[in-house]
Amino acid sequence: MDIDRYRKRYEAELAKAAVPKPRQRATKAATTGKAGAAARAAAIKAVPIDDDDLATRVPDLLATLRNRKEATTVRMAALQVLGALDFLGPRFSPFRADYKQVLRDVATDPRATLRESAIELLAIGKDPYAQDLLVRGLERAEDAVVSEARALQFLGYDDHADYAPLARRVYRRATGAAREEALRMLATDPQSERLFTRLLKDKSEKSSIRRISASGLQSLNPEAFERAARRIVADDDDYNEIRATSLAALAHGREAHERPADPKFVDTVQKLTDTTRSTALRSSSRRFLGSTET
Amino acid sequence: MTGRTLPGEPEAAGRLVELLAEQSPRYAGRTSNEAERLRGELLASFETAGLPTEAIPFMLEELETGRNPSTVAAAGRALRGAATIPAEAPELLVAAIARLRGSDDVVSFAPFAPGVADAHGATALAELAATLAVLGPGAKHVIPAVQALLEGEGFSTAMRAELALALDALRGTEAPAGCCGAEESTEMDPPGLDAAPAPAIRTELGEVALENQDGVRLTFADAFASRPSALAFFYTRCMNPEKCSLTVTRLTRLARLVAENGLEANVAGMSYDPRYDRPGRLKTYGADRGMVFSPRCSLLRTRGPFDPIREAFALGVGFGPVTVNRHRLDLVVLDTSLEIAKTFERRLWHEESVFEALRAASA
Repeated sequence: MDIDRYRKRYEAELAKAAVPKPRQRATKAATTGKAGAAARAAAIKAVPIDDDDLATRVPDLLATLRNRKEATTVRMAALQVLGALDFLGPRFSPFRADYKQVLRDVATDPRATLRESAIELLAIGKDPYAQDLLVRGLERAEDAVVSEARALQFLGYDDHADYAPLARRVYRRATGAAREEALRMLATDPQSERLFTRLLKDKSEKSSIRRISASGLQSLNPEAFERAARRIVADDDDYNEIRATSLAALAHGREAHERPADPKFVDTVQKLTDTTRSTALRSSSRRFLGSTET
Repeated sequence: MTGRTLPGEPEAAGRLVELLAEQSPRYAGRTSNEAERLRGELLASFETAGLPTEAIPFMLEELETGRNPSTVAAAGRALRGAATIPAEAPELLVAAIARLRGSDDVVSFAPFAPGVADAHGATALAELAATLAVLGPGAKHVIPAVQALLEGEGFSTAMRAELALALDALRGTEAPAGCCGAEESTEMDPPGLDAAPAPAIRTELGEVALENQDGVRLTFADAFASRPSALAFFYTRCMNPEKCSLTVTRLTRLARLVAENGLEANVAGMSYDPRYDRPGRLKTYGADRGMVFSPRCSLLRTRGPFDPIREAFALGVGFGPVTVNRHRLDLVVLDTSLEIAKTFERRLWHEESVFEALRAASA
């Protein structure tokens, strides 16, 4: 048997069965004709796609997305429609391998918005190619395809913490959003427990860093978080915002695990409720006290 | 399956087999992606080097529970290097095609290079279908299953063509050279299921400090001495639902079977990832899988390093920068003296088989 000839014949039969219907032809005209980019992008997003249309529409959308000569708005519209189709489950399965390949192609596209969207979609699926690309960019700035903060955020979709050593390096050298994202990523790294404890207690740190540290420590070691949070809540010299966040997290922990309350700490919180001028702190205090009334 | 000759390079293939163990230094410290990529390259190389008998369980494991399209495809390729195909292989190939239907991907065993995304490479499912075609009429008993796949949804036009080709080859009258020994190999049980009792574990293992899902601290001996025990290994952030999640679900069923039959035995799972899998996580993970905790049914973690447990039971697990990068399935049955009575490794185990091993260990 001539396998190539057999395959071509089989594919030709399938293609024949998928001849475009009148509405499909109209759709193709609207999305690829001489209309302006905005109109074509709108048409791509507006045209509903039936199951019967998938075999013709998806390849068109993939071609549009991959076409570097096409306007960004049109390609972005194609990407958004494909991203929605990916949720169809088995009905989109026949196209998933091609879709991922096109996303990988767009992941190194010259246009930043497309590149970032494609990489994010791949990273959500824990795609190894996208993860390698992101790691490479964090290790060598000239190879970066997205900002450091976005790269860390995307790598963080995989909670396997394989990139914790890299996140620690970025945390030490970065400032602003990248430093915060590096910390968020370390919330799945047990070796970072001490770092979170130190940052949570450090009154000179930004409140955003301390909030991320509270969340990270609570995830890695709830008991250690509880000890640290109680000290912060009882410390009148600490910022009310952090005290309120800590107390809300303690209340949440109590609601989730139904642990017995410490009467001395309940008393501290009761006094806080009566004396604080901070609305946020009063609200968190009431929630905490509510969680002890069972 | 025994006494066969390799079609490729026997010495090279023998060296490759040594590199398949998850605990091999080759994988130590690498990310999951790196470990999978190396494994994919290694498995695929058996296609030309020849697939020795001792490597076959690794291929069957991958076809049975693998989730990474490249690695599963590599196992499919490796089977093409076997002089005789194991009896289970055709069904496992079909099952792998069905399992990966929603996550097909172009496979590549080349090192990472940015910007290289071959749009025309073979996909994992196409590789598996091509291996089915290579099996030929020797695997014709899976024709109805392949037909059912073809009649279902979820395959691309190209994949349907590959499946049609596979069907054509399965229906053929002549088996391709080197294939298939399905009937002959029915006697092959997955290694591990009938493995000889392993050497006794070190006595100091009894002193290893553990903690259960409720935060109760105990020693290994406290947890397992005095009754026979089934101890399986898992970790809560395992990405493969066919492995750790299924292991704990099956432990739940095993515990039920033990209780219903009035057998005095322990059923437990122990985390590979003790620093992350704190009691609260263990409790939620078990409860989500229906586990009813009791002094005889628990999920555990070591309070110190996991290494003594890994070494004592020669577990097939490798570690990356932070956590597990790859593991096989491991379950041990211990007798009342904490000695290993039986091991179940690499392949999916069934609660009935483990129950029988527990019953034997209690006799």
